[in-house]
Amino acid sequence: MAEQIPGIPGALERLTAIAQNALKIATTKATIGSTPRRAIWTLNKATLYQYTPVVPAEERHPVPLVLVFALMNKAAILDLRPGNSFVEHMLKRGYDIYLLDWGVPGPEDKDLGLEDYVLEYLPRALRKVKAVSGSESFTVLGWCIGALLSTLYASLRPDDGLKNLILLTAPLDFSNPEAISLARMAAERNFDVDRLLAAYGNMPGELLDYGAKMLKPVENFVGSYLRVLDNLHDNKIVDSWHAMNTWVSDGIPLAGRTYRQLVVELYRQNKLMNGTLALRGEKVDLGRLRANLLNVIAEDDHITPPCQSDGLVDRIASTDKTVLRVPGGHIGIMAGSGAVKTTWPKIDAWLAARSGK
Amino acid sequence: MAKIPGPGFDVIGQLRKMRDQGMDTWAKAAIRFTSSDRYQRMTGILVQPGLLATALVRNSTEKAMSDLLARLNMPSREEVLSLSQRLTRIEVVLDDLSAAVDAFRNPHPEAQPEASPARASQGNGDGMRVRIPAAGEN
Repeated sequence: MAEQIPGIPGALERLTAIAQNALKIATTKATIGSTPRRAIWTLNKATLYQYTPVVPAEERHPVPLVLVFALMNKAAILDLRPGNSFVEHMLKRGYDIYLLDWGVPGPEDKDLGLEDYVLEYLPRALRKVKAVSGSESFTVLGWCIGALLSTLYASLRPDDGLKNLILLTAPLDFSNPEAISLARMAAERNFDVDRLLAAYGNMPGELLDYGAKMLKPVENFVGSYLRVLDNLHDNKIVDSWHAMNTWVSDGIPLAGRTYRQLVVELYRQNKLMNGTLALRGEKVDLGRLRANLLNVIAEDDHITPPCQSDGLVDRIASTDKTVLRVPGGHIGIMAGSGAVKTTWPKIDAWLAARSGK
Repeated sequence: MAKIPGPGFDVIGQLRKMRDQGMDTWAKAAIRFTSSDRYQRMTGILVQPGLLATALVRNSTEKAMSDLLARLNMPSREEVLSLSQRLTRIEVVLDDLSAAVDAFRNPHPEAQPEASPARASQGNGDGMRVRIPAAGEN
């Protein structure tokens, strides 16, 4: 019957696709972070992975690339899905890639502070990278809070072999709270961080997610779902949305002590830029940062506005420093559909020139 | 599919366009509202009772559980958490040993285990409270 009336088979196919896609996004999680890798080091909840190279050893860049993501979301965003994966892209361009996954802190980790991540976990993981790769120097790419941790490490341990430092949307400068929505949210007059930590121990992932989404409430709570509803018949758009939504809704808690340091010492007191931040008694001096720097700034970032990353280049001792401004938001510049044509090739071009022996 | 045959008037398309225009206006107004100091102060005030209640419930539940577990001769939550932290400290020591063994078995001329993690852990014992025992200690 359907074959006799033109248009009906197409309509049926479309309806079937809509039903299947609606069921899929409502009842399942997308598979993300699926590029082959092996765990080579663990400490507490943190794991260091090495991705399986796809380029012969003689054609690979000798300097390994270590990815350091934020503490409050899973690092799978760097390897979202085949065809839209930064890891996959860089593997094909001959990089030896490692990923430091911080894991999910439990109640026993509420006392973990920035000093633990910067002075214990990161140096140990990088020591393992050096041992496995056989290279004395390495590149660190940090994103969001991962960029903050990488900057702190680069300033405190400039002689440990860090050759190149790539920062993506790094929240470093909090001197202009009026331009930073999260800084206004975290202001002492509005927010009692100690009361929150007394209630929860760690900062729950759901609250972090809610706080970030409230910066653009209509887009995050309504617009995102309307977009996928409009395109339920399109498998490509649905798969892309599903992968991103799986990642967004899989937030993880932030260790209580680290959260308090971020709110009080950085968002409120701007200690890093003021030169008063100290970790275990060691003063963090940005002037000691000597690695080659690529500072990637998202022009439309509402979580880390450009003013938070702009000022770094004037404070560091590096002679090779580049600022790359990319149109897009906090996540979109690296995981959006356009990243493969805009951000990734630029990072590759900058890094390839600096990844020789 | 939703197009009406004829002069190319797309009803659904027009409705979507109107909806999107409305959404844009709504989104901008919502961002202005949620970014305002007044909203943030109001949120801060509204969540205070919830946080207080959560902390009170949490403390009293933990105390009651500790008493009960002690009577049952079972380890309390604090003891289990402290055990976990001690295991992390052991992991740190094992990590240094493992690095030393790596360096011994596979001595890359350029990849010697550097001292920085151990150096870093000589601090005041805050946070993870990790301290690497000196040689001969233990």
